[in-house]
Amino acid sequence: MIEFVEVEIGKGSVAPCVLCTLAAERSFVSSDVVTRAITHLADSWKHGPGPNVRFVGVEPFTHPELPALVLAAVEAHCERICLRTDGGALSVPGNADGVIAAGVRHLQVVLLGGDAATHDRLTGRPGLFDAALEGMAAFSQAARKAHVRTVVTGFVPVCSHTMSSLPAAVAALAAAGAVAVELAVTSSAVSAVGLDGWLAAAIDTGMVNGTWVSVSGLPAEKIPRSVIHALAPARTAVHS
Amino acid sequence: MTRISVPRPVRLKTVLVGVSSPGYRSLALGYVRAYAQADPRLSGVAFTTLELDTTVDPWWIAYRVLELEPDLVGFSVVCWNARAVYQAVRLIAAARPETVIVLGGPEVGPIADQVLAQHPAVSAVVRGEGEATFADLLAAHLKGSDLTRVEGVTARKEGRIVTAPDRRLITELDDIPSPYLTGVLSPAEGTSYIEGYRGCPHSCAYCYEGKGYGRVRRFSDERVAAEIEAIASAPGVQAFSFIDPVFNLTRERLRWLSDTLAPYAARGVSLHTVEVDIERLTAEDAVLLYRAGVRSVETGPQSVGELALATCRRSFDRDAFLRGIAACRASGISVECDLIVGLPGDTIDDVLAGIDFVIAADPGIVQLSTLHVLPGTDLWQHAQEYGLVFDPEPPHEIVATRDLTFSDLRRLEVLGRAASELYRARLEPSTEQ
Repeated sequence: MIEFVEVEIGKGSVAPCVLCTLAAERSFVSSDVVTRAITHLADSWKHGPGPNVRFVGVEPFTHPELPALVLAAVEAHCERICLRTDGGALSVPGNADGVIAAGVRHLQVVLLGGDAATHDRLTGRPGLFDAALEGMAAFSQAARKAHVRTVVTGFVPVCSHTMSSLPAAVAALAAAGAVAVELAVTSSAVSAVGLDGWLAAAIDTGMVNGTWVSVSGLPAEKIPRSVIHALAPARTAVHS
Repeated sequence: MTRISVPRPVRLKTVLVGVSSPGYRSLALGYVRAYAQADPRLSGVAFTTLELDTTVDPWWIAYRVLELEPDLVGFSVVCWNARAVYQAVRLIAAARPETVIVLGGPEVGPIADQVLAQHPAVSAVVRGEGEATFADLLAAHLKGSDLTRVEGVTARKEGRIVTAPDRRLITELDDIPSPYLTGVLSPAEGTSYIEGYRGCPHSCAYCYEGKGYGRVRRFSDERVAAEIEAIASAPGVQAFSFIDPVFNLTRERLRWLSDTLAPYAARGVSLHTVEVDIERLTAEDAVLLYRAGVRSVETGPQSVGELALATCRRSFDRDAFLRGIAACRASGISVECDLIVGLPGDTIDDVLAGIDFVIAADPGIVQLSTLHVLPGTDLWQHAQEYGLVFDPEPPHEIVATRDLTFSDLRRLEVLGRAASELYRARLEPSTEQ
């Protein structure tokens, strides 16, 4: 499978559930630090096709040095550059074209729900759901225009508040073209009552829509049903 | 003395129908028509070829055929178009019962009896290599003779389905007139194909590429060179295809192809993806391929599971496979690695190991497809023994195996598609032109 290394470019997380987490102050890691991290991981890459990097930790489009971060990855010969994003900024004209021209080929869009009411309530940001879907469409359209091959995936943090929305969130991501969705179970949700059922329903929702759904954050024995559900087509390692 | 040409009377209006994937056309019908047109017994037979694609509704296929008011209709049938063909055939027979309907192709030839039993609208099935058999069938029909006496034909006689003896293969392939050199097919960008030989050096249990030919028979170098010249020199043609199961059949042949194709490649005419034996491919071979205009190749391994490989009679040498990929990449040739989900003996872990292997090999493209148990293949004949359950209706997708449930198969398909797309989306300027 494809290995990605996650590089934290800041804190003040992408689309957190406001009912779970206090609003964290946003901070950014400087491009110098990120560049050193990328160079190091690229030089030591030994995981097959790559190097592949995913920027996480803060909404990348709020990072004042995003172009420099992407350029650092390109210059380090990263093959796959991924942004984990709430997707909203991509609906702004020019942004999708810009990141594709810069070298971004993978997009991981975070959703907390499958409809505007749920997602916007849990993120505390009215209008974000529609903007996220528009952003995904804009990214794919920009890729077609530029004749480059890109891919969109989804990322759904699983907490007690998002749990019952998992199937709808997967359906929304699948409808928007996501080929894979990662359900990331937070520590507070590991033992939540009913989690197994919602995960299974989300996985099956993905299946019938042709989107692969993987689960992270759970011990192997708690992964529902078939063993292959435990596998993510993109594995992740975290660069500290 | 002035000679005046007089139109010959049409004795038989024959329509040949190809229903191909969008963007393709039928080379098989080109051969069949070129052969029949050259047969002096068939003077007065008028041929029309309808090239349709699988997006055309069967009712419109029937409409297009019936508008031509044919006496005889021939369909080329493969697993992908069979359902549409069967429906179109029912409509044609219902609307114009006097039409003789003949089917041929890999989907129907190996199961001719079954096809005739299940589809009363079908008059006859041509089994195996079609050129000579179809010409003889037309000649017999013109004379009012019994079609069931034509070698290679299965047809109806007095309410029974009768199978005539098999026909021997055409010894000299050059006896089949070239569709391109006779003008039956016009060279066209993207839809021109050359067949260098028939048969396949391999005998994979899931594949009908060899079509039961048993041995490799080659068109002459002169014939292939003439077809290359006709196609590659045609206005507007920038790329064409070789449909040979193994392009690098022998080193000698690869060198000849490279020498022959190089002048056209130098003018910017390239080949569409060709299939190769990657494990036999050296760095020198890769250079020859590139020189021939090859920019991408397709290969296995189809599976890395030992039991599946053994059952399917496939060899797999990991190191040689990786060397072949490296040689291609070093020469600027992209490699498409194919895996088949649902082979007998493969477990979930085998399929996952296969995905891991091909992605780690970094070939350029990774493609997972689902097993289709095709008529005439070893898997079709021994499905029960191998524990294969498949859809009896075309395109005969695998439903379950001893080791993989229906759900497992569907999950692996979705996982494979995701892995393939995640792999393929990458920053690689050389392939983004």
